[in-house]
Amino acid sequence: MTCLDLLEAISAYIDGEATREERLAVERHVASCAECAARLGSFRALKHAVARLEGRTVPPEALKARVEALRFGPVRLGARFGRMMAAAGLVAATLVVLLAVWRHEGARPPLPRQLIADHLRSGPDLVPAEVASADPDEVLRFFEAKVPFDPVVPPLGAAKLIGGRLCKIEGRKVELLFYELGDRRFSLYVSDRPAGMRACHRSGEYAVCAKRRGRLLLMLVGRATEHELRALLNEATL
Amino acid sequence: MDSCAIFAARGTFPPPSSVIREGKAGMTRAEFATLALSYLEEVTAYARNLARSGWEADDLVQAAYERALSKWRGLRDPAFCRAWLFQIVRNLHLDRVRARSARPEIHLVESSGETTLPPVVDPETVERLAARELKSALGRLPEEQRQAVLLSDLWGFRYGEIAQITNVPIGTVRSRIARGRAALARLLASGGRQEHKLRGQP
Repeated sequence: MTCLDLLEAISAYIDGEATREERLAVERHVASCAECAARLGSFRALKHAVARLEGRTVPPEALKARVEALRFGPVRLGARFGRMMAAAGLVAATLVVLLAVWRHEGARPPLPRQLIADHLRSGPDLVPAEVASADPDEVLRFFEAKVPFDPVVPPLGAAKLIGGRLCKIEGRKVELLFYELGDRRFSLYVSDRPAGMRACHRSGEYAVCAKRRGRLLLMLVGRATEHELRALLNEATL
Repeated sequence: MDSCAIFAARGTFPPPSSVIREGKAGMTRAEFATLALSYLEEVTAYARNLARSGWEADDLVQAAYERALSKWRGLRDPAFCRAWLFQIVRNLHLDRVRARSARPEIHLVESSGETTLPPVVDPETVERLAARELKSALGRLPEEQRQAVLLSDLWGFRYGEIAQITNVPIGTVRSRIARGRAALARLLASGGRQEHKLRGQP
């Protein structure tokens, strides 16, 4: 295989998107080709340089206000029409509740997907944390007598503790701890759930990995690779 | 699993509608709106990247959120919310470009370069590169390559998600990113020479 043939594989390699065969081919080739080894380094440097550019733009206040207003619905209807719709809505809401309960009981997605969904909608940036503190002792005191096990607040490598909240998984009370690493937030669910999730799962750019520590199961969710989550979990000493 | 967000909310403000799980992603509209709005700054940056002017980008963002909040039930998984918003922005942008029968784009990077190996750029040179210089080089890439590189490296999307956002096969995404990086390396290796030449053009 020539250097030119491997160019696309080298690019996919640094993104972690190369196939196993491509990975082996790239590693074999760069071990004996100094120019391609240097090209791999230069592609990686370019990737990091682009990643350092600003990927967020604070929207103008007027735009922010208009978009925020969409949260409450598209158009306000007239009062009379509104009352009619309210009556019809009451009937419909009852049906929706019944349907929702039926669906909630009947067709639950797998737990890893539920954890990722919950991580996305229950972060302290969206719903205020019940305990907001970087002090593990303070967070630990909050969970005492609230969960059916001795609470823990493990360190998570370089990720910084920012708070926590009590929550339930399949009817069991669990700790939900929030950590930050750079601009990313991680949710650590600590449960005495007997059946464990052994592997990591990925959904989109999010992943969830689990690790058993004694009788506790630690489930970590975040926008990260499975490798990164496993490395963070390995730092979680109790 | 009981949602931890809902469990926390019950004690304080439990409007009945907030506990009704709707949509394919099992979220309420309010939860979807909160999640979607948390990406507003990134969506705005992406729209600014696509559109020709600030006001056009802002209009694109508003239209995208209007569409997302009217079609929110179609989102299958909250983990794809960010990619879904980017996809909506891009589709709206393309609709508008088509509607004004866009002029053919002028690509300043030669496509013939794709049959030769790109030069090796010293990583330290890249490290020292000012953001302005890098943006300028990115601005000279063919649009599809520039978008693929930015979606991958700036916003951290996986190839599969970029394929979904840009509506092309994964193989095309791979190829665009590789060619985009090769073109960037050529531009940076040519230093100011190509820059002066291009500036001199009418």
